[in-house]
Amino acid sequence: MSKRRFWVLLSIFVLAAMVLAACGGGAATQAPAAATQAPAATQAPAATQAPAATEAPAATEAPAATEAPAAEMPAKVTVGTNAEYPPFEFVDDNGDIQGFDIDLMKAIAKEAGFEPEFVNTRWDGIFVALASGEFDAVISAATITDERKQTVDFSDPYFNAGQVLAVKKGSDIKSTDDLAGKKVGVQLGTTGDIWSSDNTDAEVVRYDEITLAMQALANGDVDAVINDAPTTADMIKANPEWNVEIVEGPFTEEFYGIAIRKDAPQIKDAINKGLAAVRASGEYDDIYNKWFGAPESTEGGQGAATGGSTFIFGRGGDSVQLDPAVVTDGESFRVTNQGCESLLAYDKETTNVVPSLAESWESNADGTEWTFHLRKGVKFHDGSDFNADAVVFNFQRWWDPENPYHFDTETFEYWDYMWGGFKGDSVVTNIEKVDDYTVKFTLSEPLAPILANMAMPMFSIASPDAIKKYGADYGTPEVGYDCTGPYKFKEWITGDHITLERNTDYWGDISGNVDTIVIRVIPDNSARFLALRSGEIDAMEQANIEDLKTAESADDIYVLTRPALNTAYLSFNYKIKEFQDKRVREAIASAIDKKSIVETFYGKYGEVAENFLPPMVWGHNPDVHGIQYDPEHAKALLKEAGFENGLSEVTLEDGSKMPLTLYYMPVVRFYYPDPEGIGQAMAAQLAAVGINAKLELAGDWPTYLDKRRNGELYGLYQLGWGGDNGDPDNFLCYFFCGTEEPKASEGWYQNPELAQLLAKARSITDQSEREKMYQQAEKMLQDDATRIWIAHNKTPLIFGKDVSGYIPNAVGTDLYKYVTVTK
Amino acid sequence: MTTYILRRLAATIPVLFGVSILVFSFVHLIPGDPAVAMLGERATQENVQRLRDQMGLNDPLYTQYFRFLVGKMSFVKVTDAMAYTTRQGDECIELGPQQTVCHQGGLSWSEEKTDLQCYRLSAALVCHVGGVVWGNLGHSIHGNIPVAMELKRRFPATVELSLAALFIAILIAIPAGVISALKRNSAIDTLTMMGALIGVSMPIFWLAILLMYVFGLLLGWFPTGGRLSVNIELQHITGLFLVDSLLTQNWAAFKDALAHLVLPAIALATIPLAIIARMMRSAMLEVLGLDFVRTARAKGLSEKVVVTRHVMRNAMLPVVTVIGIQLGSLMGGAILTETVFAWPGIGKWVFDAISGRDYPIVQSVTLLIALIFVLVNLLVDISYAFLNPRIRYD
Repeated sequence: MSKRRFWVLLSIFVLAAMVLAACGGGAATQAPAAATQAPAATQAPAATQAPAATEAPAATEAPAATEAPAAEMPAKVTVGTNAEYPPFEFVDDNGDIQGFDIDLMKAIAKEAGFEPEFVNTRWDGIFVALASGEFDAVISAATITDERKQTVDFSDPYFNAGQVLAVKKGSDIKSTDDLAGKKVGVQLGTTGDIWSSDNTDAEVVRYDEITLAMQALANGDVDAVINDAPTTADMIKANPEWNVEIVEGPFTEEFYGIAIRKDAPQIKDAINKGLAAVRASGEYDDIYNKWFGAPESTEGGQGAATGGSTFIFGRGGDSVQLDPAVVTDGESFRVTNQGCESLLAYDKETTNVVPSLAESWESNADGTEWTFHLRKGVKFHDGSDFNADAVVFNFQRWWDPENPYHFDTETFEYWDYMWGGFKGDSVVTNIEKVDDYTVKFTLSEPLAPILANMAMPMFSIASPDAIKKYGADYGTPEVGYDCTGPYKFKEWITGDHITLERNTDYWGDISGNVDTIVIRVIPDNSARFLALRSGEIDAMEQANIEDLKTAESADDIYVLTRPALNTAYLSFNYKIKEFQDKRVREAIASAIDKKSIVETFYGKYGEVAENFLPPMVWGHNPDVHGIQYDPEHAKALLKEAGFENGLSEVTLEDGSKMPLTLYYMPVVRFYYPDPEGIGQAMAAQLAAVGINAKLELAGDWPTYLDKRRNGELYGLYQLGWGGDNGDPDNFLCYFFCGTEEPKASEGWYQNPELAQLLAKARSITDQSEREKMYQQAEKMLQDDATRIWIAHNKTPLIFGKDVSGYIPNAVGTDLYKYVTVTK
Repeated sequence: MTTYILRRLAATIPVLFGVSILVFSFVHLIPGDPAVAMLGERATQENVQRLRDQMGLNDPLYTQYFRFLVGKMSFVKVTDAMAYTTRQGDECIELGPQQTVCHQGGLSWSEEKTDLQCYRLSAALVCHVGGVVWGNLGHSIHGNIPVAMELKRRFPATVELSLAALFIAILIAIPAGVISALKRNSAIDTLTMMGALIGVSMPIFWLAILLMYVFGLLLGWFPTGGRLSVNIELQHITGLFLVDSLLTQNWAAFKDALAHLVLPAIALATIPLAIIARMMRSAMLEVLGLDFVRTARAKGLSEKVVVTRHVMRNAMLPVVTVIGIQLGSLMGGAILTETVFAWPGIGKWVFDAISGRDYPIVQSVTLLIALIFVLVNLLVDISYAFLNPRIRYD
């Protein structure tokens, strides 16, 4: 704090010195400066925070300096504003002053050749402060009034905030002349109320709030609304669904002007000239449209051109949130995948990386600098431009915990996990804009899976404007997402459905014919299947085995499968003395008949796991076949290890004994379709060779995970893994990196050699070299009988026969833009 | 009577307070936490610890409890310099950089963008962020969604379904119970009571799927789930779709909402129906045997008058109690019915919140349910006075 204050004071001093030096006029200017400083000091003591303190005195010095007899135009003009009146002026979440007035003042200053310095101040007393020389000018949506003209000067009017007439699009009311006999909504007691009553023959309907009047207009309860221009324009912009437009106005006059202190006519002249130039060049219109213009592409009627189909997908659970950066659940990604895009993408059903928002990329020789060239002409759903600034904004937000948009209430788990932590710890050391369409990432060391990471849905680019506007509410049901993809967010009725709409400005191809996507929540598997059969939904995921059998033989529905990028396994807790003997581990592995388990519980969708890595992931070692089912071998090994009478009790580190326990998972996961049933089968197979495992349920899912994490599942336990990005690192390193020491979450497993191999494999970029290392890792796991791999499971999805073109992706980035529905 | 109601209402405060402590202890004492639930298979030592820190779960339990109860409190001494008036004429107080509260009427001062709320006591402001005692239910841990907002969306769904189910139950159960009692040991009696037994013991889950299969899929009379077809637009006023569609005279929506409501309401009605019918029967039998009934008959009153005016009215006392309890438990969310019929009420939501250890949701909803139970009980007690003039609450 004290350090910061020191710098603040120093900068004030330097600034004041510079201003004084610039004018050169010495002693004559000093006196008024001192005089104006006193009131300023009494006016702003409330502003106890450092920045305000710097502004106040600096501001008072500047006018003092320019008050020199020679009426020269100063290089810097201090502009006061009360930034509490959006969209004219407001403070954004970054603490920057923004708005129509600010943009306009900057444009004027550019034309007139001075530099504006904005000071946020309170509304009450703003003109007194201006008159006393605290600022040179005030731009704050201030109406030009005779009373104010007594103390300050005004520029030419720059905005008419008079009354305007708003109607529903397509209404036959074109001007206030058409209002006779119609219902006109107004806010009670406003100029609009008085004007309508005095000047029209309309029936005036008075509302307490102007929003209510506008909603009444949208609902058709009134035929028109008369209200002031800025508020009306702002509300129409914020609510395109109202389908309302301004048809006339302003037809009354309420001019806003820039106030200038009376003793600075040269500033007034410069501002007036600048304003005229800004108007003449068309820049005024651009600024106006930016803050008040109707958003583009909200017109409907494009359905016919695009196919007009609705695709209804049924799923078991709701999304948690629609900002993919802050969630970890697949149901959230299922939705955001339709509307949000990352720099790269996964191709069709695979994990092969293809261009998306980035068209091309390159790295330096050692793989520590990556440059991405962005696609041009892409717009976010809110109409703002996709460019390098947007990409840097998003990555900075995830990467840097100090970033104002890295909200405390949110967790950026996937960033942490894929990029080795946050700024300071992360492998990413810098994210910068090279030019408008080029972004460069600097890494502290090579990160082999960087491209696979870049395609993950968690790292999709959201509109910076939307995040600034909504803050931590971005992604919640009221707000949804705002990205670049083929479908825009429309509505989220929690627990029921989410509706998405085709983005008619989408940069890419939408090969299917779906205009509206509805993603419905139907928690019960059987109920979801019935809904599919009755035609209420078009597609579904997660079905009971019996329903799947029905689906396979039915004519009106069909099944597709998601490639198996997952592995179910049975793990050992190495705190158990018996399990530290490789012969015991191998005996248990040999006693389990994986083939019969897969046939019974996975059906045709499963396959026996021979490696940890599923066959579809490169790095899978085709020469490693897992530990084969061989009960006789198991018995022999047990005997060799000294357990010829079987094994039903195990020893903990402290020497205490406990029954040999097999913990089964309390929930069904895609890799374990029936944990309890599979657990019973495993226990029976173990019993056949004399190993008596007690089957145990260790609480619900969070409890189970918590015990697993702390290494407290003392025995054998079920778990599995689903890949995030198709890179072998995403399987092997998560589990076995860091096993230089016994790793609690991996059942206290320790294998320094393996840990080093995996750490090395993630830091080199040559894929064929990496592949060999992962194959070697698989061999090491096999030789050590580290774990028992059980199965890889393909997830079935069921569709109505009207649906075609659906492509289930291995990591779940199914894109509905390929889907065609014919009904 | 008024004093009695006020006294009872005042008594809810300690009840809710006790419930809040109980619930808080229960949800925090079960193993596993939101961080683990969120990370799933990815839950390792380091990232769970970091998440727990961020979520404040490493603080002592009493700290967390008070944060839940009263929020994060702060006191600010207000000087004149901090107060100012905006151009819209609002009174505001600047508390610090980018932190300003504005007067919202009464003692309340708040900041629009954040949850910060203050109360003015002469020269001091008592400020808080969150805290149930202030009516702020906080945000869900998963997804950071305001619990109050979500509750506003989901609770009406549960209310609508509960009332519909209870309506069906009462409509059938009361006449069934009365007839059974009057025709005691007849074939009708046996059949009715057998039906009631089946109703109580039938698994709702199975019945729901059966109803859905027959009336949804085979006959196609009703949709299999949800509250409203996705192509139907309805303006939400009360959140009770039948009421909303009537208010806006949106007949298409009314028909659609009613069609969606029928099957889940029937499935949910079975258990209360059976319980109420059995209770009605036994209460009727008990009263029928009392002396005053014989006297009434002896006075020459018609059997109809005896049954409706005297017997039924007296028999209603225990029945009303049972209806009250049923209503309370239905409002608590019918997890199974809501799950099977994809009904977006609070039942499934809270169930998921418990699985995800989403403490703010579990705590808030439990408090709400406790409050409903207390209020329904109060209503039941008040209704006694109307049913039986001998009962007075003075």
